[in-house]
Amino acid sequence: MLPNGFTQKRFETVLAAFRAIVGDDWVFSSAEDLHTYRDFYSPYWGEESERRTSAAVAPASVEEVQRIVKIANEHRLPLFPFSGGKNLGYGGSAPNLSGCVALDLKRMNRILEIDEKRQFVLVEPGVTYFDLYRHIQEKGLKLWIDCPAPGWGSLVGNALDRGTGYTVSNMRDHFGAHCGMEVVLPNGDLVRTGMGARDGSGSWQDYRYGVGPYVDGLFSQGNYGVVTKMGFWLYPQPDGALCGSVIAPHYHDIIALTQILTRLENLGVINGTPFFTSPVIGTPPGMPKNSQLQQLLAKGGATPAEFDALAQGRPYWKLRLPFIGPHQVVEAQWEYAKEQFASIPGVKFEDVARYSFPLSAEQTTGLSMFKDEWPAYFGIPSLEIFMVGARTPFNPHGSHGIAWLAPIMPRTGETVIKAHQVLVRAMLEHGVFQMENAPMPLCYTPRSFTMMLPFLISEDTAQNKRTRETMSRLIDVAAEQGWLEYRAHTIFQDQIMSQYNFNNNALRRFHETLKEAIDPNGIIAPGRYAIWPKTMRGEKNR
Amino acid sequence: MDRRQFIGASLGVGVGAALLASACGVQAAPALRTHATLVYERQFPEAHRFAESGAAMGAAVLAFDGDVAQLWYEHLSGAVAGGVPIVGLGTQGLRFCIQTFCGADVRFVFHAHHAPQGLRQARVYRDLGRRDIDALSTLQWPEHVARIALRHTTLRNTAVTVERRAFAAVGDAEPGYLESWALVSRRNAITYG
Repeated sequence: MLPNGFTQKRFETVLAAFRAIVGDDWVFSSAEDLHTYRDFYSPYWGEESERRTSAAVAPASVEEVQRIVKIANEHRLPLFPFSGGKNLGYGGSAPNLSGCVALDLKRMNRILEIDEKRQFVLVEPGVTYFDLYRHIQEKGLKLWIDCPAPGWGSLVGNALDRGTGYTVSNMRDHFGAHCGMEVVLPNGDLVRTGMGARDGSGSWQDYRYGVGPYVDGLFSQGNYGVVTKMGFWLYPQPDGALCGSVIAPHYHDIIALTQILTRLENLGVINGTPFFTSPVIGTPPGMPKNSQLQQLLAKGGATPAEFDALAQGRPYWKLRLPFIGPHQVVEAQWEYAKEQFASIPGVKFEDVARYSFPLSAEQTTGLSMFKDEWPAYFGIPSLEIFMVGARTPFNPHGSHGIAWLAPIMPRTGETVIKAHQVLVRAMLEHGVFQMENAPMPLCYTPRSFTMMLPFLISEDTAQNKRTRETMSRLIDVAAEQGWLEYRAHTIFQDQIMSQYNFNNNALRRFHETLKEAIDPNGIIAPGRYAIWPKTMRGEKNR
Repeated sequence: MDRRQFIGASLGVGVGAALLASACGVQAAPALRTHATLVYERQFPEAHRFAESGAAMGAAVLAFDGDVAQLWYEHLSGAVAGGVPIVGLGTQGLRFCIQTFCGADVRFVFHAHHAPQGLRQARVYRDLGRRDIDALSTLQWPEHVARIALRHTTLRNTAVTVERRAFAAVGDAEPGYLESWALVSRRNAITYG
């Protein structure tokens, strides 16, 4: 594969220039090497429309990135920068536009500074959550990281994609927990944001804004530059944690549960990640299917009596609440939370567990997402999530990959009920309702719900086509309700961005205006989140 | 970092493979016939039998309990860096994660899907004789798969494209739920055995 408009000879000329910068070993162009840059969870796997790279180049320093970008600009060669490429479910290391050269930043993997007293770290893009966690453990630092469920991704990459984690509320929004970045612009210029804009300011990772417009957001889910350093705030190792569960009997209790939960989170009483499950209607990793429930939800609403009949005595909701901090404080927080939730008739409180940190090696090894004790709840990276889709006697077909839809919804129980009705009906219409898809409100951020909808990807191109069509339809169905994705696989980014339609898609037009000013040749990740340079807008969906 | 390890994964520093025969309650055979490392998923009885057979052939045995990362950083990264072949029996996620960690310098020399009753599909980068296929279809398949997988780690193999996703059980109405596999570094596949 060649970049659009390139002859083999011209492409080889550019690759030779890249080799002169990074060395022969760090430019990849063989089919075997490029195989590793494919999106292994691609909904287009093996089809002509699968997004593929034409080559890859892996710099080891900021200076090398600058030189590569300048050459790409001279030759109008599109690059697709990525940090770790583990963004599985959202496109991995594959570009929006086939033919891009992957700008692989994994070699830039230094932890540049870590400060235990001020609780921050400054890293390069290739540093993974495992790298940072292991570094902290080896140095014996009393610090926590916040990591996503699969811990092999890059801090920088995940934050720039606005990924989330599972510890305390002010750390879980990974972009929100960053402080300061360094960016190579498309013309090769180097910019530092916030207090880093002043040489030797000493507070680059302490205060994020500096003065003037705050530009960091342009580089998240964007294509205006290559981020080469990022600072992140870390969490001081807490004394302890308490986890308790609120059990509510009725389906419509979700309204009161949500109202109380949201108030307690915004008060700062609950600071860990709340987690809803339902013994009746299922939750990832899944409870048994219930076709009767599907019918109830799909018909557009059922009475409380009908829901209760379905439950057969089982409670509808279990809300796990983690409190993280000093022992005396978390005990008081739990007591206060119980007082508030006790206003729901029939509510019970169960499964109280207490922790002291650091956990012992034995305790750490014993943590498991299958026991309601995800390692990620305690800032410990793992890969246990990859066991969820495995082929088991209960899930005989297993999965070859997953693509996600993740609409954001208002934090109300009424919205959850409506989401069940609307999304389940749509999924049933397309024949894809399954236990993992039972929409369950997730509380990654304290002021909204995220409905994570996983769709299994197979090796069967016909099945994948149906899955793509279903996902596309669900994007539209959700958008009609005002529920828009916060993040998306590359193949859906154009469709999703078009849903942000206020004033004739003014936001996208603004993005495009910026693109034309900052990157007129469109060399950085063309098409990322629907930001296409003017010259390439006809190449959408290549 | 080696160039080929790099492009597939960010490798951590490993501590080397350890013989954990006690993990599955088996004793290694006194005569070492393979120096491969064997990984088995503890929750499956078939995997225990696979591990016991592998240990008897001299493989270093590692039990897997749910977090591949721990296994990788503490044991497998060092084994792979040292050119030690890795064989395994477990679910798809175990294989996918190990393969991704290994990077592009590995080759499958054996890969099969199994149902509790035996072989459902095999993809082997060497001719697998009828005798072996028949053996994998018997109730003793875990023992046979250990023998066959470990045997393949000692064969030369040079021309296999790395495939990272599970092979579909095409045309099989009841696909197996366990995978067995043997991964050998390309360098090793050429010179080993």
